[in-house]
Amino acid sequence: MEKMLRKKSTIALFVLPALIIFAVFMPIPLVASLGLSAVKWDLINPAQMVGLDNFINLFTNDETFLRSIGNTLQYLVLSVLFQIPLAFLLAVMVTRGKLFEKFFRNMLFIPVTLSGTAVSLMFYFVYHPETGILNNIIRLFGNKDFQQGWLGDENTAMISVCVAVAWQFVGYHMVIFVTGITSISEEVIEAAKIDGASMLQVILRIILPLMRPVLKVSLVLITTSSLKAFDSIFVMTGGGPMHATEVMASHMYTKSFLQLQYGYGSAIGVVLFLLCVVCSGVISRLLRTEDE
Amino acid sequence: MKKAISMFLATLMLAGLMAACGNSDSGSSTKSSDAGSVASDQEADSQSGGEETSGEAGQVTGTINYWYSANEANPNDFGAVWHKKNLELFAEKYPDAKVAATVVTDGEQYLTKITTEMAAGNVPDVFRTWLTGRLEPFVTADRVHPLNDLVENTPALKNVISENAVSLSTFGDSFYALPLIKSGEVIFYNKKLFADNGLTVPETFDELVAVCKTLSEKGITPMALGNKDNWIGTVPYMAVFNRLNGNDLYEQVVIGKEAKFDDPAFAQAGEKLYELVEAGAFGSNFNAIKYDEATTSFAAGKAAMTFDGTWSAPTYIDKLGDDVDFFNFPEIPGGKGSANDWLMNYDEGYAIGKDSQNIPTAEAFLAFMFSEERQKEFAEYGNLIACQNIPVDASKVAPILTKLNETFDNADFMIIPWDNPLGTNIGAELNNITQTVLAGNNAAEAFGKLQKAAQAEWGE
Repeated sequence: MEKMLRKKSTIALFVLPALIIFAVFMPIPLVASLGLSAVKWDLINPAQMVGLDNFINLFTNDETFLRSIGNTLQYLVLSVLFQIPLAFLLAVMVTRGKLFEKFFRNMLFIPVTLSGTAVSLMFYFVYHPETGILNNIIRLFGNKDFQQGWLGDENTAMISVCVAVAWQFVGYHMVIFVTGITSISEEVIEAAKIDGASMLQVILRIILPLMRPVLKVSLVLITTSSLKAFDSIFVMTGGGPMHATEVMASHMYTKSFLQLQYGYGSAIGVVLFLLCVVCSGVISRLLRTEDE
Repeated sequence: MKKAISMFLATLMLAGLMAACGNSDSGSSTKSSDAGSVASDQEADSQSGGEETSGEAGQVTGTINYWYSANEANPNDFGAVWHKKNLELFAEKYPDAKVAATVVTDGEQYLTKITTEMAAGNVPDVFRTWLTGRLEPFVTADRVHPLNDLVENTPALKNVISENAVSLSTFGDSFYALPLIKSGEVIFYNKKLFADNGLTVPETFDELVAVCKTLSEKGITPMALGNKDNWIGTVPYMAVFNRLNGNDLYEQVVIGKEAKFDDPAFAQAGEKLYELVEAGAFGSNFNAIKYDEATTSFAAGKAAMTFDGTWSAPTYIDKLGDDVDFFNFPEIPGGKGSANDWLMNYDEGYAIGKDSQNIPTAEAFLAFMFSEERQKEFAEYGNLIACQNIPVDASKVAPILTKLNETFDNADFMIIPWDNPLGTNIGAELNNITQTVLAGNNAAEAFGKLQKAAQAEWGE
């Protein structure tokens, strides 16, 4: 048996099925869309080779695309800001706390299990200018100036969407952080406490530095999911108002499926892919620990 | 004489079948009349069948595929009922032929499906399509069967198909789809709310502004506008543009696709439109409200007006009864447009696949859908139909629908909603620009952007 497994051809034989399936679903479409990005194609009439024209148009003529890059990055930054600190705080609370930790842990994780569309739809109603609970609460306290069409206003739409997304995913990152915190050995923290460290010092000096690898995982996950964000945007705002929440994925959808410019849409996809690679690379590099 | 008889019998047949249909839906209230109508059904079949298809009846055999889009789950989608009955009646008329129908509930999904299948070469025999820009790629790819011969050689069809309607599916010398519906965008208003507040239909733009101010002060939304779906905000914009500038620039830029959105006229129309926003015409959160919600709010009597498509008329009649009426966007003194220029369009084309293996049956089915009886029934459901010379029984239709129909027939000018001829890209961008303008942003700057996009798409 062992001898057989040492033979390279046997290994290849066992790897092959998985490799074929993987190739069909991952690299081949990737390469195909790279090829598609160089054509002009409405699916029906023969595709025309246009070389880099799609990319040149993207960056010179398509203001919506340029805006969508900015919006995507804004979505990314807001998601990180809303989710990571809160998730960390909650993780500390449910691990260091004394009462109902399990209960809170589960409660906070429930939104993660819901479908993104359902959550987005729920928040659509929360933000509704007339019947939405948010404006009703504001009205209850008499602050009429603060009520507004949250998703319909250029200035508040993106923040509102990101709050909804954060509500859903903060529990997910909390769980990742909880694993990180529980893996820090109790003795280290005890030792620090005996030496007179306050809770804040324990968090900032011990927990946070030791959480670096976990933090990296969370950051990479938020980054990639934010860059390809689509469902929340599509349901809540549809990219509007006035492209204020148009992200790259929604722009790609509009171009390919509503305007039938498949080549152009693929070009957006390629740029999005490159952006994903670059961003996760940068994050990995920034949070590299000494031993890596 | 023979024609008159066959007409009479055909009507009888229809009546009989409708009674039969009613039966299956609602139990057994009128069973006694069935026995009598069955005999006349068959007679009518043989008579009218022979005449309409001019001797082709023998070739109407085999199976054809038919794709359309209708929401059967929506009780207000009378199109779904009508399509179903088309299939049933056609099967009775031509027992040798079979129509395999594929129904897609959602229009956008249908577009994706028909496009991908077209690309793969799986063109159905008969299918629903769009007109103008969205039909064009199908035609240039040589996937659609021209319908000139069918209409020319079938007197019953030639009589009802309007030239105006097929002009939207004409490419080169031929037309490729028969439009089913006619639609227009008018200002519906609630007569009761107007009377309660001592208001009359505004004749000028300033009067409209005054009406909006009065209503707004009383806490009534003057004009429901669900501009989260931003195409609806373009509707009042197009009206204002026409009243200010007439139709020359529209023909040049929108129909002729000359990139001239930097002409100050476009921005000025936007600024004029914003005067309505400032008068509180649309309420304050209109950019956050969906189209359907605005429709519902008008239907519930919460808004006094709404600038909406005639496809919503059945809903409004259903909820508001005689309280709903309509008027066109008023004239702007000094402007070149007229209040008898209407935003109108034909839509929902039906076409035949070029590579269909069974063209005779496909043609027979299309001719059946557009036959006088079927169109009459469709109109009597409360739809505005694209066909002409259909003897619609006015007593079966709400008076407002008859009025709409007559109004459109007597329009001085038909303004096709711009996003249609502009194409999907610039059309969608136009909707974004009007949304920007309605939100109070600089109109000249906004149309500058549209100009840039149009130049990129159409060339200088």
